[in-house]
This record gives sequence, C-alpha cells and structure tokens, in this order.
Amino acid sequence: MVFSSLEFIFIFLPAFMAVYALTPSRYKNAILFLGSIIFYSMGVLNNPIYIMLFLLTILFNFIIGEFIYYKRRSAKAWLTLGIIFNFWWLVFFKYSGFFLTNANALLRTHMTVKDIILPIGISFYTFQNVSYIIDVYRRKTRSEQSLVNYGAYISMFPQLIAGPIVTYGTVAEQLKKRQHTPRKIENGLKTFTIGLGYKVLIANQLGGLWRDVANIGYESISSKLAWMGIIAYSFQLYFDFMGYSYMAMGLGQMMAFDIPKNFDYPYLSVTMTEFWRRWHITLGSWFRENIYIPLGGNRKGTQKTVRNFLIVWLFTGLWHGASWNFVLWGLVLFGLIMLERFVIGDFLNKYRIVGHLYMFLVIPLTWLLFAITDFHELGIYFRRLLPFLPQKTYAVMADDYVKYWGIYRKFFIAGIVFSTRIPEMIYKKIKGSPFCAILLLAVFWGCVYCMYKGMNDPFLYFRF
Amino acid sequence: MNKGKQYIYTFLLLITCFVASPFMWHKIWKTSADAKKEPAVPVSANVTPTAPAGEVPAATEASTEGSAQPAVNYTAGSVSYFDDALFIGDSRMVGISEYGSLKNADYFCSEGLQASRIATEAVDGKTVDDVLNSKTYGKVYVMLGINEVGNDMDTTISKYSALVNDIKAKQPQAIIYLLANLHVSSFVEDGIINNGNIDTLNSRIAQLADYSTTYYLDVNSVFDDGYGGLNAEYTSDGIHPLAKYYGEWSDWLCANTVSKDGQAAAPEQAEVPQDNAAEATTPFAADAPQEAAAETVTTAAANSNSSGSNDYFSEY
Repeated sequence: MVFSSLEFIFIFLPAFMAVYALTPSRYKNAILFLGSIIFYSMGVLNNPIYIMLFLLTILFNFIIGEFIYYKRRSAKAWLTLGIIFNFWWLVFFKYSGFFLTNANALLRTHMTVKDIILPIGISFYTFQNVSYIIDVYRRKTRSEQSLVNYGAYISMFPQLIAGPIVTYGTVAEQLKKRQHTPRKIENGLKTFTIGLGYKVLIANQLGGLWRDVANIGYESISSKLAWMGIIAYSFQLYFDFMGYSYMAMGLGQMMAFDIPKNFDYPYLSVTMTEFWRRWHITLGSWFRENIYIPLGGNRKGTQKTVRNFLIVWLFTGLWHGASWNFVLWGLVLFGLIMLERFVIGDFLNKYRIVGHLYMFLVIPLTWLLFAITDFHELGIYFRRLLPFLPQKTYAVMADDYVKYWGIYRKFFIAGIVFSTRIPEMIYKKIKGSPFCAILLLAVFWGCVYCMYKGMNDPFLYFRF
Repeated sequence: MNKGKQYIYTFLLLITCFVASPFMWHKIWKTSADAKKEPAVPVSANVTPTAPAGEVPAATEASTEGSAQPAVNYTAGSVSYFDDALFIGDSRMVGISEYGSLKNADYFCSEGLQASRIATEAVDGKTVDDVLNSKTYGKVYVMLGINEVGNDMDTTISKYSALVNDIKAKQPQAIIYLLANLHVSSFVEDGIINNGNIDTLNSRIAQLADYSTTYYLDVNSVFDDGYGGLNAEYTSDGIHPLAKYYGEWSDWLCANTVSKDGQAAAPEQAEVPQDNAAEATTPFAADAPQEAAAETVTTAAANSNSSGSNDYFSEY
C-alpha cells in the first residue's frame, strides 16, 4: 500500500488512527506493531510467506540483540551470526538474479532461478536490524527488552517501506514513553500533506514527462527534449522520495515519534560531497557509521581513506539496484567525490556560483546512470544530450521540446522553487494561520483529485 | 475558540474527509472490481456471406478480418493521396500526426479522445463539426475506441456510428476509413484494457463498413507479436508504438488506399514477391487481404515515397 493512495488515506489511516487513539498508552506499541504488520501484508498479498520472513527477522534480531548485550564474551560471535543472517536474505532476494546472470555470462552456463519477487522494504528493514545489533555490540545502546517494542520499532509503517532508516537509538526513549498531543496531530497532518503534495503534484506530474520521453523512444527525441527529460527525472526522483520521507515524518509525528529528516535541500549543494550529506541522509549515516568508520574512516592514511570511500560507494550503488548501471553510478560518484576531495572541492566551495553550475551539469548526468538500466539505451540517451557526438536519430519531431515545455512548464517552475528554501521560509511565517490551513486543505484535495482520476505513479524507490 | 484555532487544519481535514469518504470508498471499490474484470470474448462478426461459418475467433486480427470483410483491392497511394485527408483519433493518432510521414493531411486528434465524447470535445479550439464544415475532404480516417474499451460497447458503437453518419452527411464525397484500434502489449493488459476487449470493439466497428464509401482497415498484423498483442519491442509503455514506428504505420496507410470510384482496377505493385499478390486481382481471396497489403508495406513504401518527406534517418 502506498501512502499516496485512496486506500491508505481513506481506509487504513483513519481506521488505524481511531484504534490507536482509543488504545491506552501501555498497548499503543502493540497496536502499532499489529497495524504495521497489516499494512505490510497489504503489500505482499501475492507472497504471504514474506510476512513470516519479516516477523522471523524481527524475532531473530531481537534475540540476537539480547544475547549480544548479556553474553559479553560471545558477543562478537552473535553479532557475526546476526549480520550473516540479515544479509543472507537481502542478498538472496535482491542479488541472486544479478549473480546468476553474471555467472552465466562468465562461465557460459544457463543457470536459471525462478523469478524471485523482492519482499517489499527488505533493503530498509535489513539495514535497520543490522544497525541495531551493531549499536548494541558497540554499547551505544542497551538491547530492547520488549519484543513488542522492538517489533513496533522495525515495523512501524511510516518508515517501513521506504525509510528513513531510523536507528534504534533515535527512538529508544520514545518507544518507552512519548507524549501524545493534539498539537502533534495537527503538525503531523500538515507535514503529511506537504509530503503528499510534493509527491502527487510535482513528482508524479514531472514523471509524466520522463514517461513521455520513454514512449517516444530515446532515438527520436531532440537534444533539448533530452535535457528536459533528464531534468524532469531529477526533480521526480527528489520530490518523490522527499515527499515520501515527509509523509513518514508526519505520520510518525501523529504517533508522537520523531522520525528524522532525510533530505536537507540537496539541490542547493555546490559539491557532490555536500550533496550526499543532504540526500537520503539516513542512508549516508548508515554507511558512515557501519562501514566507513569501522574500516578506519580517514584516520589511516590517504590510501586507506580512498579504499574506504570506494567500498562505501560500491555498496551504495549496489544497494540502489542489482544491476551494473548502479555499480557504474556508484563508481562515478566515488570518482567525483575523490576529485572534489583532492582537487576541486575547495574551489567549488569558495566560488559557489561555479559550484552551482557544476552541480547543475553533474546532477542530471549522474541520475541518468541511475535512471536507465540498459547500457545500450543509456548510450543513446547520453549521445542525445551531447548532440555534437556522432549518432543516429530516427523520426525526431521538430520543436518537440516546445510542445512538452508548454505542458510541463508550471511543474518545472514548481520544482525549481520548491528546491529552494523560499517556500519553507514563507511556511514558517504563516504556519499557525487559518490561511495556511486553507492552503494545505487545497493541496490535500488537489492531490486526492489526482489520485481519484488515477494519475498515480508508483514510488520510484519501491523496488527496495 | 482561540484554542480551537490551533487545530483548525485537523478539523477542516476531518470534516471534509468525512463528507467525501463515501465517494472515495465507492471509487476504491470500483477500481478493485474493475481490476478483476474478465475480458470480453471477441465476437465473430457475421456480416457478409464470405464469412466462413464456424470460424474460431482467436484474439488476433484474424477474427475481424477473416470473418467480416470482403476482399478489397487496396492499392498503394503516394503521400500526396493524403493532401485532402482528415485524420480523427486519439493519442495514437497524435503519434501519427507528430512522427508519421503524412504531415500534409489535417488532424483532429488528442490524447484521451473518445467516440462517446467527440461531439463536444474541442481540439485547438475547434470541434469535430467545425473541422468537418471547414473544407472538403477526399478521405476521412477515424481511429477511436481504446479510451472507452471498458465502457458499454453498445453505447460506444452507437456514438461511433453517429460520428460516421455525421461525416457522411458533411463530407458526402469522402471515402471513410475506419481504423482498427491497435492492440496493447500483453504486459499491460488488465481487466479493462486488454486485447480481448479491443478485438471485440474492433469487430463491432468493422460491421459499420459498407465497402462502398466506408472501409475498415486493421494495421495490427504489422505490429503484432504473434500472440494477438502489440509486440513489446516496438513500444515502451505497451500502448503507444515508439516514434520511429509511426513511419511504418504511415507507409502501411499509403499502401492501403482506395480510389474514389470504389474498387480500383490496378493490382498491387509488380515488385511484390508474395504469392498473395497474384490473388489480389481476384476479389474473394480467402486469406485476409490485409496481410498481403501489410507484407507489401516495405516495398510499397519504396514506391510511395515520391515526395521524399521521410526523414527517418539522419546521421550526425
């Protein structure tokens, strides 16, 4: 079930919130756990066994956490077992197809595996479970003693399917005790509405242009349209994911949880390094805390630092998808970040205009590697962006970009404006006023209208 | 009241959602019911005596071709044939208008256009009647239906038929071509949009052709995948062909024309290697003549492209 759907907004959420609100505090976590499992099952109706798997991983990690905390001498063994268990499922479901395809190519074999359907959210909940047991091992936190609380933590539906990757430490206190107030519900609903607006009114609409470009065929678009297309994709990806993260935050707020921010104006960055501190913040933190720092971070000399960055970026690429274009994407980001670290970073930070221009080029070009899985198609699109390269085109319509600019102009403008801090500054000023309430109401119903008419796109990060 | 003001958004949202919820629940229920619908079984149209009795309606164009139309002697026209042509249609027609090679024709088309609503829809400020009243056309092509394939078919056909009569009334001299709706790829089929429904609709449209002023053309054999669906290699979304294939579609239209006095005496182009070409002169070839016509697309294209307006390939 997607947050931006009529089923969620008009059936699941009101039903859940009614039950949750009426439940005494002691049992609220249990209701949250139960409700989240129901939410999860709606998403895996074709594969009910995935619910069992999910519950099993929760139970297993809960037990591992307790063992690590209480059995100090064998803690490392328990940690190792836990990590292997968690990653085994992720690798099996997400990467076996990828391994087999490559093994077949290398060994000239024809091994096949039945089409494996990815259990939804597995990339997120695996990382959450692993970060928990690592944090317990490191004594950053004690283990959670209530299975219900741990289950509520991992499964809580606001962040179950698409993050943010909430660390246990962030919510440990709140699991035990939190204040539910009408104010939090009010703020939560507002935050949720803003996220919904980003997704339905900007992301889904600009996604239409990216889809149009694919329907025309990359060989048949003009270069201007190609640039428009990849910029539209860049906005779609951002507002989709950021919108979802805001909705998660809003839903969490309604239940008195403080779910952390996942985005901090990434498109205002002047370097790729800065970008990745502002984009999918919780993923970057996870890699930093659980891979980069344990490997030594930047404290073991330049060579080791570069090696550590390389490992992090290879895995970041792979985490996003089981396919070579994601690996390439990760490597390109690694290359850019190293270039900035050793050569151009200081310059870009000092002359921010240049930095912005640099990012204006680099962001869409790197997203291109992310957007197109097939290397042949990738090559075609890349050459379309650089028309001075030799290439073949087929049946390009003259002035195609004029037609699509006319259709999508207002969404591009919205995308640019909402990538800046201006809307937030205005929002802060009008936040409590009736005018703001009316405005948000209009946004909410505008979104519902779009969903009603069926202009709904699946969330891009859902194959995770 | 002041304290209430702090929660005004919650109140407004709850009240409006409460009022709207029955409509939303109805929509949710309807959407899930639609998703579970079975596709309609394609009807074997029994219009002319050439329809062999008991012909099995497979979900391919064979059901519309073999059972419905008489064999027609289509000839290959050149692009200039379309100088006085009007194309009426939906988003696939938009594709032909933008990426095809028949830019000399007039187009009344838009995404989402439906026969049931065409009387009142405006494209670029004009209704279809405005366009039909504006000048004399030698031929009018109609391709509608994919956007209403889930609606009640009788209603759709009656509106479609009303459009055809409207065209006949306003353009009595014109040849009318009713184009079959293109199939969709199997990977996008659902309870509403599926090739079973499309074939049923197409066969009903085929019944409107009288083969003296109105003809039925089916392009599906050009783009089909062998299983009655749109070949997945020709499309990204399973519904619209990639832009580069609209040229082939245009060529096929060029290859399937009828001259004003009905059946043209001239046979198919001599270069055609297939055996079917010889049968083209005999009016009742049992094999679907569309297939012969379709197979000659590539050769006809070479002959019909006299104006040289086809810029398929441009090397940079």
